[in-house]
Amino acid sequence: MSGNQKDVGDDAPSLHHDRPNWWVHGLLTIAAMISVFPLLRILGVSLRPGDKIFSTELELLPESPTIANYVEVLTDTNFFLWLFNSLVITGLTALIGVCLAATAAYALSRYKFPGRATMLIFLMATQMMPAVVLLLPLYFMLQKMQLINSYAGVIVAYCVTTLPFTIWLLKGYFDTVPRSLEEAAQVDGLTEIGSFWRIVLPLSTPSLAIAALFCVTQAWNEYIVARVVLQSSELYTWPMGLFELQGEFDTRWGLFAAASVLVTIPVVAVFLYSSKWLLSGLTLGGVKG
Amino acid sequence: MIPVSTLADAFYLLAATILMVAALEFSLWWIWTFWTHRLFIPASAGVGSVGLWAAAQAGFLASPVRAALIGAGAGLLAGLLGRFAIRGRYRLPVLLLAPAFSAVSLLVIYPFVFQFRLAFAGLNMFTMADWLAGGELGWVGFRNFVSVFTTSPLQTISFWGLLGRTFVWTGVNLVFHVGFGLALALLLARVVRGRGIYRTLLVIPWAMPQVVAVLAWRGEFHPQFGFVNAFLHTFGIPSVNWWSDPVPVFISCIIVNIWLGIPFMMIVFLGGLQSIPKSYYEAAAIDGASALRQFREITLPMLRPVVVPSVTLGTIWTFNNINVIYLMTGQNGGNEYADILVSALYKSAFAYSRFSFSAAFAVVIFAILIAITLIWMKVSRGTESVVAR
Repeated sequence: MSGNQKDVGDDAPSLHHDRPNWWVHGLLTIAAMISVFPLLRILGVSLRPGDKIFSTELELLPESPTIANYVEVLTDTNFFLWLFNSLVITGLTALIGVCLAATAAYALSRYKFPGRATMLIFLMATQMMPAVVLLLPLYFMLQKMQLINSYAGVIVAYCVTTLPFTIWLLKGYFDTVPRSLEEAAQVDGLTEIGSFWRIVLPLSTPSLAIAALFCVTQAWNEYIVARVVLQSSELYTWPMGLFELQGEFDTRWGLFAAASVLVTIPVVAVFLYSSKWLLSGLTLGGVKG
Repeated sequence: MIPVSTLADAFYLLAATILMVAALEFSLWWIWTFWTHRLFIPASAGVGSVGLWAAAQAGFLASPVRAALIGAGAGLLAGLLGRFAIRGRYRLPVLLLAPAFSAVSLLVIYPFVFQFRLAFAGLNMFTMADWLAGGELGWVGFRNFVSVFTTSPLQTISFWGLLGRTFVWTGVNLVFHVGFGLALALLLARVVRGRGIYRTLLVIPWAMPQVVAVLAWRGEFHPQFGFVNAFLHTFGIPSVNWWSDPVPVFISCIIVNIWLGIPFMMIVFLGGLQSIPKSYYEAAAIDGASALRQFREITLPMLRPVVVPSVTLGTIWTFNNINVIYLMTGQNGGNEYADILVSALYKSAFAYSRFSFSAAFAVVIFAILIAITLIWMKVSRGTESVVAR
């Protein structure tokens, strides 16, 4: 895979010889403006002074910008608590998810055993089903296990929803690692499990990173399940906190905007930075199989 | 400010996970190592019994005696299986697969079965406390299924209304996603200078956390202070009540979801476009084919392998999309003007607390999903390449 892991776009030549016309650039500029518009808007709103929050002016930058909203978000709301909760949940989901997925994917990639194809299709099928359809029985199950209102409940739910995809992704990658490497190592006296640990895993760190990143983005941005499982406000993740702020539109619109900017900038930065690997991994594991 | 108890909770979870995986791996290792031993079966029963008894002593299970008996039974069964069915084969793959697979099965298959049980029970917000305290679930036959089709899952809209709206939602969104995605990919493929910048800006909707993007759009649709109405005013169009008039609510949800979904299609199509060899176009140009003809005869057929899986994925995601609709309409009591099947399910379960009704509703939705999947598999044979390996 490392051979065809090229960036989708930058180095490839244009399809056509003719010089791009001005209208191509014009259309792309309009599209780009529409796509970044909400981000710029919340940036603008977050800088507005308190008495101008509801102005209907269309300018992006307000007249007298102020960082008062940011100060208030950081001091007057539970912003850090929300971030902390999200961090713990996301970190543990990625850790547990990747460990379980890597071992399972290796077995599915390297060994033939009865039920293997069924297992792969079963994993695929769980992806077709929305989490919401199973959320109610899962909720009761977690309630009986006393896991409602704890990190564990959400983490368990996230691990299960991300596992099928990460297993497929990693299996696709392991399939491309030449088997001869392991055979050579086993001739030299390495055990089967040792060749997984010492040879296949180190060779596939990029795909492990993609899998972890997938878990992180899923868990970090999730709202629907978290809202059901986490009920006490000291366990709120940041999407739940934002929803609270935005719900009371009349009073705290500026706070919502400031908090949004604070969580969005790092997420967008990570996404853009990692998008080449993420996208190539997506086509490799998810679509092409 | 950060409560210590929540941190302890996290460590506890990690330790419990490691312990459970270790116990699972140990029992499997036991079966695969000693299956030829003379005392294997009785010893398995003994190990299982002691194991569960210890777990009961540690407080994980209620009754130590019952736990020991269950453990003995399970150990006996595992021993028999190991001796006569497995016979020492496939040791390593099963050891590797066991943790992930048992987690997925426990949390997918058990809720799935329990869903059916729930659908035939009479659980709602009034009987719930009794049931949680140890009461019986009871049976009510097909009553819940009947009421899915005869009463409203929300307040007024019927099941058929929701179903129709779901198809409109999926169709409209997908047409715009594919259309705009393809158009933007074609435009991007034509420019050389500045392509990286355009692409970066155009994937922002995908990169932004959905919660932020949708809530920000919701603010822009505010009837009084939002940007959309202010923008319409400059053209002399009167205010539209995007928050509470039935049709505008649905339209605003569709607009937001279209905005969110275009980048994925665009990136996938761009990758597909760039894998088409340039020489095809050169040959066609020498033969005098027009740009439109080149598009129809080269670009579209060559894009097919990319289009089929991405449209499949797009359909599933759009059909099952609950984020956009819930975040746009879920606050302050909310309204039901934009709800599709899955978001109505979520609301009827967790906002209206009609548990058994929602379980029956979920079973019906699940049947619809299966029917669609089967039809789609027949039509596109899209899964062939995926399962072939």
